[in-house]
Amino acid sequence: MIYIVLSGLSGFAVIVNVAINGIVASRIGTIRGVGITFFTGTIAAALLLFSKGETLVAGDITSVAIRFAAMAGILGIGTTFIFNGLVQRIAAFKMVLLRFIGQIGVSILLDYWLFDLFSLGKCLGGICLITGLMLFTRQSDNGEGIDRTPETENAA
Amino acid sequence: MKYVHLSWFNGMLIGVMLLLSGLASEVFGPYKGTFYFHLTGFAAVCVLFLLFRNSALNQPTATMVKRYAPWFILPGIVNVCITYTNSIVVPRIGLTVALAAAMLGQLIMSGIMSQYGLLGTPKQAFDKRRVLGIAIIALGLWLMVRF
Repeated sequence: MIYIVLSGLSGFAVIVNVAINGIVASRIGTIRGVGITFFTGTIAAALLLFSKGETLVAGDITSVAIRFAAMAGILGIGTTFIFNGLVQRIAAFKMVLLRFIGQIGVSILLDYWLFDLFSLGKCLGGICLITGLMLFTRQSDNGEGIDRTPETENAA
Repeated sequence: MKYVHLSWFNGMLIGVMLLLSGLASEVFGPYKGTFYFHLTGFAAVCVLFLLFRNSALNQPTATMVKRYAPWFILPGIVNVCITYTNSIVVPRIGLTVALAAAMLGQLIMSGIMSQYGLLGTPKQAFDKRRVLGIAIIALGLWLMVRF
């Protein structure tokens, strides 16, 4: 239960970050905005790492896990820029809906493929999620949809 | 049409990204995994910065310096918290449930922010339709956890 609550709270943080990033990007540009986010993130993560008494070792570089982390970092940047490209070209509600459908679809597939975590509940839950999302993002009668998300979205 | 496909493809990439950072953290631990995620992300931005040095995306530094503010470091710090949380959560409850819970959190927060117009978001009432949407998503999350 605690992990589900933590995930929900991280969702809160994602939205706050999206809004702040949008303001930062409007003032100094997208690339610099994302650059500052990842630069300060690197410093903060390093401080956290060293404060916990952990160290970086040469063996990390040859570890398979570094490739996972590197790919995740690059994907984080890639998805941010794709998002920024799309935000001007597609209705916000449609983009939010499709993006979440993509996330849920691939997560069900990956959970099944990699961890053998598949259940009818997950499929039904996924259908509920998409239905709820369609309701949440549906354009209202006066033409308003979900708020246009700020210019820059945080990778995570 | 291509933008529609790009939208869901982008969502899929986010799912893969969360999985990869979760796998890295399984080996390195959440602190080191979070550090390497940000370090490689920063390296990728540096490459983009050099590639788009002369494009409209990247305005001259001289005109930008005046616009920097100390609070610009906030997203980076929040990003570390998000990545760290994902690192410890995904291996324990699986990607689907983690994403579903995060989605619920995102929608609730975006609803609250647009209700009050926080951080420059356009004001929009948290109406019954949105409440119903969130309730159905919460039901979906419960189904995923329960069955």
